[in-house]
Amino acid sequence: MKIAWFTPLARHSAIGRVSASVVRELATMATVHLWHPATPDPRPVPVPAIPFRHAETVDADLLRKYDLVVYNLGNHLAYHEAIFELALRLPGLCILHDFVMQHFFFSYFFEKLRRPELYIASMEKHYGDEGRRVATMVAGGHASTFLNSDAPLRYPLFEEAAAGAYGVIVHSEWARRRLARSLTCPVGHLHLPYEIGERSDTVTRAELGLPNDKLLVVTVGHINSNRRVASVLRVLAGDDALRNQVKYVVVGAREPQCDRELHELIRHHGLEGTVQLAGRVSDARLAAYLRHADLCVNLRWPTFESGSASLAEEMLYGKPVIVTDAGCYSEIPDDCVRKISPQRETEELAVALRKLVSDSRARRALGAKARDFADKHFRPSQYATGLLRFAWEVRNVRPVLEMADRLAELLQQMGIGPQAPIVSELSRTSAELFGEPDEQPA
Amino acid sequence: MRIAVVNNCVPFLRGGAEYLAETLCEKLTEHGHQAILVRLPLRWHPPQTILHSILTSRLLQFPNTDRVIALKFPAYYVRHPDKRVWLLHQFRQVYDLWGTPLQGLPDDSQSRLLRNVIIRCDNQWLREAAKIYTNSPVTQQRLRRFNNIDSEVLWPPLKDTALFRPGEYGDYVFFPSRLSAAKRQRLAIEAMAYVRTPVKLVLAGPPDTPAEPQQLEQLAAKLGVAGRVVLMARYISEAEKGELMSRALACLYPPYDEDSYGFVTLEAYAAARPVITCADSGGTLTLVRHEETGLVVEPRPEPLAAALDRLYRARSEAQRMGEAGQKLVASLEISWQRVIEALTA
Amino acid sequence: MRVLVCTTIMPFHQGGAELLADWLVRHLRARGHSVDLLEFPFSPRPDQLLEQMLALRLMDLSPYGDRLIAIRPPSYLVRHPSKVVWFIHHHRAAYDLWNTQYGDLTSTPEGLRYRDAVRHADRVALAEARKLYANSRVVARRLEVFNGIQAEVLYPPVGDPDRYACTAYDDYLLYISRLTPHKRQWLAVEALQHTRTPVRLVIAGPPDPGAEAYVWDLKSRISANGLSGRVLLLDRYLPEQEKLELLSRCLAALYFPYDEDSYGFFTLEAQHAEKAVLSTTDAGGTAELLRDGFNGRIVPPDPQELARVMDEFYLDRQAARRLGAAGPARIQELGIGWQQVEQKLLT
Repeated sequence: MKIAWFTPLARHSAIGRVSASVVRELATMATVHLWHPATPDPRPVPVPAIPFRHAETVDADLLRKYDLVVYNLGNHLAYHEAIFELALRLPGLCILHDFVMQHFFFSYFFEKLRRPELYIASMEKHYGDEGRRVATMVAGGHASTFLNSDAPLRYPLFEEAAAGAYGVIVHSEWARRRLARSLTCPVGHLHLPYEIGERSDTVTRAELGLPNDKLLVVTVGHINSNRRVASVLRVLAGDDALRNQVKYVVVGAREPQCDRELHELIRHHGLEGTVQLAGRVSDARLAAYLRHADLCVNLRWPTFESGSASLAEEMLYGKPVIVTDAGCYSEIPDDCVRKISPQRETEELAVALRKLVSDSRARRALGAKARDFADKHFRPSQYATGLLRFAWEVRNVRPVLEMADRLAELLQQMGIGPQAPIVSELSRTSAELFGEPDEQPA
Repeated sequence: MRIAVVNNCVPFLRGGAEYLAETLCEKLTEHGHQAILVRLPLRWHPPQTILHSILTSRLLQFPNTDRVIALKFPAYYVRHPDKRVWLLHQFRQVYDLWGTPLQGLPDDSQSRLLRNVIIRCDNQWLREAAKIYTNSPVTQQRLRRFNNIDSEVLWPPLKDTALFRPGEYGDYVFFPSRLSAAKRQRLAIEAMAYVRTPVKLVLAGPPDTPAEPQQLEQLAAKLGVAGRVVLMARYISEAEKGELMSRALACLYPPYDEDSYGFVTLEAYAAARPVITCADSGGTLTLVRHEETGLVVEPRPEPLAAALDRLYRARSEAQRMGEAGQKLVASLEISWQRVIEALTA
Repeated sequence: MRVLVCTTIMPFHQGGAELLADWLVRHLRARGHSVDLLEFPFSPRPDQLLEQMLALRLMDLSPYGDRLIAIRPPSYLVRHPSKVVWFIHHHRAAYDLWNTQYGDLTSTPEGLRYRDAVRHADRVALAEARKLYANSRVVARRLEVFNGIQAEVLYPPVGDPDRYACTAYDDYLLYISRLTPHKRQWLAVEALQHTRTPVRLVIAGPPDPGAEAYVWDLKSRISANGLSGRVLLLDRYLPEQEKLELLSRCLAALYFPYDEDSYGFFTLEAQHAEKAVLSTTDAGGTAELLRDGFNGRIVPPDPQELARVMDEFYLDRQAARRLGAAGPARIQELGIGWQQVEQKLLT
């Protein structure tokens, strides 16, 4: 079996990091070639890596020779643009890392193609008149308000991202259910795999400039307003005991607007001694922050992701983590993370922080549970096996699905709508004739 | 070339189009091609089954085949990279017959939907053909008017003109055709009640429904003309038809708004017989010129009877018009040679 | 009775199924039935299978005819309340040729789905038939093994049983068949090398597409072994009249295919012409028609064994005649005839 695995491979792409560990496992069961958009400093991977510049420069006939083509797509235009365009040309299995792809497509249609009308058409295609109205508004100068609100959740545009896919994998059951409602192709759920490297060059607390007499609370990731760092700051500001007990470090690049807001809050509440905005750091330092952390805060609201790499990493480190009780985060068992309601975020966050900061046994117990769960579910080997099984199922249902697609196209040409009696009759006849797909042989 | 001729069919029924399709295959073979005839059943009761027929035509494949030549709805929806259409029939029920008593579909929203579907399919899938020929100016104009599609007229020739040779002008008018409401054999029998001369009527052809012959016989009996009406309710061979045509006084062919000019007209002219037809007969009017090659009358029994009487009384008139028809056909250069050249170009 | 005969065709390919359908129509018409034949083109390409099957399934021919007889797969997918299937072979890529070099369906996830879809559809449509006949015991057994359905064997007769005659027993053995490796005409040539009598051999039939190398090999074997004077190879389609003529005068017939489904039309034709048939123990369906020592000989596919029987035929023409004369009786015994076909398919 030959697999072509398309992924960004830039050092800072979390998807690239996930890919590196998954292809290593896949390579034990199949021949894997990793294709990636050319980048100056690609992450090293244990399989042949083939860089390419643009979708047009890749020979589709070459790709047809693979038994399986996998496209990793996420909500970031620069990393995924070429991969997306290839997926349109040659359908394959699509791993959708983000449920909301609105930002990708906004950039794609407005900045890359400079064809706002295509954006509007896409929104209308998937969300009807309402989609069209919203899209027109976005095109009319309200893009930033729209993109920074929770509105993209209602118009996620994953439908557009999956256009070329004959099967889609997402990383939460929640996202799987949501996608399965809208897509005709099979949708599968696999836990996002993750692993923490064994590093010999451990950076010490002192080297990180951390005091020894305070608990280390950490938030890592690409810091946007939906990371809720501001909420953490407000809770710290409102509880003197708490702010004196902890050092809160925010690791990762910050969006400019969010950055301004955080600095403003820190200044306003005099949190300079408690909070450190560490910015983007090296992999070694990032690992060190996590290793030394006593507690992680990993909130998301609104929740756009189909799975979270940072959460997986924190759990693998055996850290107690506070998460938002929403989206894919809700799916982690209640005893493995501490969940807070997005509607009563500040109150519940305050309670959770006080409890975990004050109770070291509770922290250890939660961290141990987290590690157990992560060890069991976030292994790349499990991901690789699950992916191959799903690919088998997808290919197995493809013949009937492709026929159904052609039939749908035919009916559309005939001007027959989905509600016409002939449509359900055809689907009955097809099921009667061809039966259900069989179970995968052992 | 390996050519599949694709036609629709109603199993067990044979009419002019079926005959033409078979002849086309034979002639293609004579010209050195390999040809097969593929007949796709068209059911239209209940009307929703038409959708099935459309889908079937569209879903079948033609492997090992260099070209398809499609003739009728919905056979011309077949997919093939080298598709030619020689259009004999669209589904007229949704075009010119729509809103007339011959619409044949119930007047409901389902039928309207079906109508939209068929028009849409015609608009898209007829255009896939590298070339569209029509069998008459009527079909050509209808395609132009309703679908905005251009085509070229390619007259269907007789299979064997030699069978239709001028003979004596006899004492009967000959009406060869399927026995069917749209062909109006009833009108012909009703006219017989008004004739004043001893002219006879010979009706010959397979009935569309089993009840048809009996109904016609009853009508003739009721009108007291049974003695002068001969009903041959069966398929008649080409040779038999040629024989009957060659010795007729004239040919009668008064269908309601027909697409094609009707083979019957060609056969009559080949045998130098005038053709009596009606003003609303459609395609026949492209070949029948009133007072020149035949008589065109109102579709009522009395005028029709008058036309029969007139030719019976003046056989020389019949001969003059018949011979004019013969010349007219010759001038159109209708031949298989031309048809094969056009369809295999 | 009004009978609709349905079959699928590979356009411009004249195979056994097409012939059978034509003959059936002709014989039913001759027996006074009103018959219409519908032939639907069908492509065996895997990625086109399902939509074509659906196309056939969408055809509800219920209003037409009192009986529908379906022949080549998967024509039996059409709907009719009085459907009878005369099953002549499976879509073999999905059955006995599944995942072999001879079929185009392989054990990929997609291939499995195509296979299962074909089998499922067959099961559904065959179960609807009011009666299922198979053209041989081999095919009937496959229906039982693969589809779990019982079929009665109804042997296909030759198109014109009355045209066969026996006018002489000359000194040549006749092998008429398509020239293709699995018919093993070379085995006849090889056996002839081992004969001790001057018995001659006539091999005739059109080469299969792509069998050029095979024919060339046959020809070179003949000349290399100095058999040119004793073997006549007619590598072309044989007009009916020429075939009948050759058959009526031959000493006996040969038929050595490898593991065939049915007895092969040539075997049956030879029996009509009162000729003994020499076949091999591994020929498959021929054993259904031939009984060793009664109407033919069945020996292992060994050139020397075959040569021995060939010599016997040559030396003891009475024996060849006696075996040949039993042919018509055997045909009758098996109930092979259009009258039986009519009776079974129409009741």
